[in-house]
Amino acid sequence: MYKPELLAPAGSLEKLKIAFIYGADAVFIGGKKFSLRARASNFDIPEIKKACDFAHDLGKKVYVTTNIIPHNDNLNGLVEYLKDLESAGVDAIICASPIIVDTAKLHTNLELHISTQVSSTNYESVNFWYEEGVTRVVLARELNKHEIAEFRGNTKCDLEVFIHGGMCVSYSGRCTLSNNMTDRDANRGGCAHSCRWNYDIYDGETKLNNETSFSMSSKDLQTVKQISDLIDIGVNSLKIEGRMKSIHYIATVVNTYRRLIDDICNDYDIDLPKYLLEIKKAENRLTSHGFMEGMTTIDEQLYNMRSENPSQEFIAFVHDYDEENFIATIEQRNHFKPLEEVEVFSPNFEPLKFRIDEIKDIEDNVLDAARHPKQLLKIFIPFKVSKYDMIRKIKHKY
Amino acid sequence: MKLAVTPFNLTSIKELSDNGADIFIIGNEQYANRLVYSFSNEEIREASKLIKSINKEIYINLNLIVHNNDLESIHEFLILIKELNVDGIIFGDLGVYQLAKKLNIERKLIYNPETLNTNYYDPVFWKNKDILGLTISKEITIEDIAIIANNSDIEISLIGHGHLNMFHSRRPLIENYFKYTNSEYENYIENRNLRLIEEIRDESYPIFQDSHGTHIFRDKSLESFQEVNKLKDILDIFIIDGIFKDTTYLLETLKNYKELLLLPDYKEKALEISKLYEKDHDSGFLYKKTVYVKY
Repeated sequence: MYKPELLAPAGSLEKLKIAFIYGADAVFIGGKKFSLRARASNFDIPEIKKACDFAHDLGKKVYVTTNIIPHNDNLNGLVEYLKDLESAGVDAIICASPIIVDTAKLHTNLELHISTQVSSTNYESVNFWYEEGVTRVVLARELNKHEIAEFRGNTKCDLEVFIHGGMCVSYSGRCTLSNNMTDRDANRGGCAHSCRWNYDIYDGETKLNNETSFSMSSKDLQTVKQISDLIDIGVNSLKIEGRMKSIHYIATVVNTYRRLIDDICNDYDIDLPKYLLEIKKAENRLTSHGFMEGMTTIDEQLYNMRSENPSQEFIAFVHDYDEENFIATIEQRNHFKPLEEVEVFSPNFEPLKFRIDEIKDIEDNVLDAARHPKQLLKIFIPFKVSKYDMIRKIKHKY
Repeated sequence: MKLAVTPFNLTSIKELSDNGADIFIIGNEQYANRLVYSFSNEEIREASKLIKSINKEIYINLNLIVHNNDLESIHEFLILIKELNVDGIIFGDLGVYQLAKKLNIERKLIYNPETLNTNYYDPVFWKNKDILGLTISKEITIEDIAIIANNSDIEISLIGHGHLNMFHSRRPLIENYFKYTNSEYENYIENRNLRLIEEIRDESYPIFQDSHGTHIFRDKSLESFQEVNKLKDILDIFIIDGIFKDTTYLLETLKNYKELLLLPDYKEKALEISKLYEKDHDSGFLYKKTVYVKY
C-alpha cells in the first residue's frame, strides 16, 4: 500500500522538532519574505538552514511557503531570496504567483509546489501547473473525496490534500473581505478573518435574524474517518494546517494521524473512536469533515460563535528523567498543583495516566503549585518518560 | 480604449451600441458567476449574430470556478463559442485555458481570476501562454494599474465601473443559516435583494446564493468618472458591469463615460457627474493601498 507523506506546520524551530519527533514526514514553514501568515513567527535564512539540516539528518523534508500574491512593490529581492532558500537546502517552495514560479525556474533548481491559494478545483488546472514544471499541487479545500479520486487517474502531478485545521469559508485566494473591511490584504498575509465576524441579514429594509446572528464561520477540518479513503486514492501528501498553533496541538494532531496512517498501512483493525478521542484533546474549535463527504451543511458551520477550549490542557514538557529515582525534570507551561490527575503524551507510547505528587523546584524547594511559565520543576512519575514527552491535565468537564 | 458593457437582454444591445459600447460581455450561468442576466445558448447565438451585424465585439464570460464534473460541459460550450467565432472568452480558472488550448482557441482568452492579476509580471506570463488579454485585479491602485498595463503586450482590461464582489464560497451559506434557525429559506435563494451588516459597522453588503455557492459584494459600487480620461491612455478596455442595476442605469452610465471621453476639457464635468453618483458609489481601491502586518 502506498503510504502518503504526513505534512505538518511549524511556526518555530521548536515546533518543527516536535512535529518530526511526533511523526511528521515533512514540515512547511514560512520565511521572512513572500509568505502568508505574516503574524506566524517566521524563519530567517539561518534558521531555515538549521531546520533543513535537522530534517535531513532524520531523512525528512522542509517546504517553505512563498505564497503571497505580490503587488509591484513587493518584488524587491525575490531572486536573492529564492537563491538563499536553495542554498539553505529547502526541499520545495509552496507558491501561488506566476512571477515566483518563473523566477524560481529561471534562477534556481528549487522544486515547486502550487499553494491552495489558487484554488485548484479540477485536474485540468493541476495539469496546467504540471506542464509548467511544478511537481505538486495542493488541492482546494472545496473538494469531496469522490472528486479527489478523479484527479488521480487524470494527472501525473503529485497531489497534496488538507486533512486537518482551519478552513477558509471562501474559495482560497478569491476573498477580499479583509481588504474591503479593514484595508488589510488577505492575499499578502493580512487576513483579518472577517468571515468569522457576526452579521445581521436583511431583505431590503427588513431584518431577517433575531438573536442568532448571521454567521458564515467554518468549523475546522478533521478527517480521521476519511484518511483510509485518501490513502486508497493515492494522494501523495496529507497536510495539517496551523503554523500559529501550540506545540501541544502540533504534537497531538501529528501523532494521531501518524498512528492512524501507520495502522492503516499495516492493515491493522482500525478503532476510529480511539483516534477521534485523542485528536479531540487538541481541539480548540469544533471540527467537521468539511467538504469530504459532499456539499457542506449546518454541521460544517459555526453558529452563535460557540468557541470551545481544548478538553485537555498542556501543563508541562519533559526535559529529563532519572530512572533510578523516578524523578522527571519538566518545564512548566500551565498552572497545576499536587493531586491533579494528568497523563503523559508521548510519541513512544499510548497516553499513560498518573497523579501529581510533590512538586519541587530545581533547588528541591517544595512548592504548593506550579505557577511560573517555563520554570524547571521536578516531579515523581511512576514510569519512564523521555525528553519531548508532554504532560497534560485531564479535565472532567461533563 | 474600448468600452465594454454587460447587457441585460438582446433588445438593449442596439441602443447601448449607438451610445458608445464597443464590446458586449454576456454569459450563461451554467458556466459563469455573477452575471447580470443568464443568456441561453440559443440567445448567445442570436446575440453573436446581432453584435457582429452592427460591427461590434462579443465577449463570453466563462468565469466559473471549475470542478471536475463541469469539464465535459465546458468543453461542449467552448465548441459552440468557437463555432460562433466570438471575439473574446473571459475565464478565471486555469482548467478553461487547458480545454481551450485543446480546441486551438487560447488566443481568444482573457484571464480574469479577479484577485490574482496584481503585478507587472502577470501580463508577461500570459503573453507567453499566447492569450488575448487579462483583466487587472480589483484591489490595485491606479498607479500600479499604469505600471502593469505599461508592461503589457496583451490586451489589458479593468472593471472601471460596477458593483464588485469580495467573496465567493462554494457553500450554501444562506440556506444553511436559515435551516439552522428553523426558518423558511426558499425565498432567499437566488434573491439579489439580501444584504449583510456587520455588528459594529454601518456598511451594507449585498449577498446572494446561487447554484455556484454564496457571493458577497462591496457596500458601494465603483465609479471612475474623474479617472476615465487618464485610464484611456493606460487601458485597452474599460468595463462597465451592471450587476444589481438595470438597462436604464447601464445606458445612463455609459453615456456619461462616453461624454467625458469626448470632452477636451473634462475635469469640471467629471466632478459634476461623480457627484451624482456619490451616495452609493466610491473610488474603490484606485487610491487606497491595502496593507498587511510585517513584510
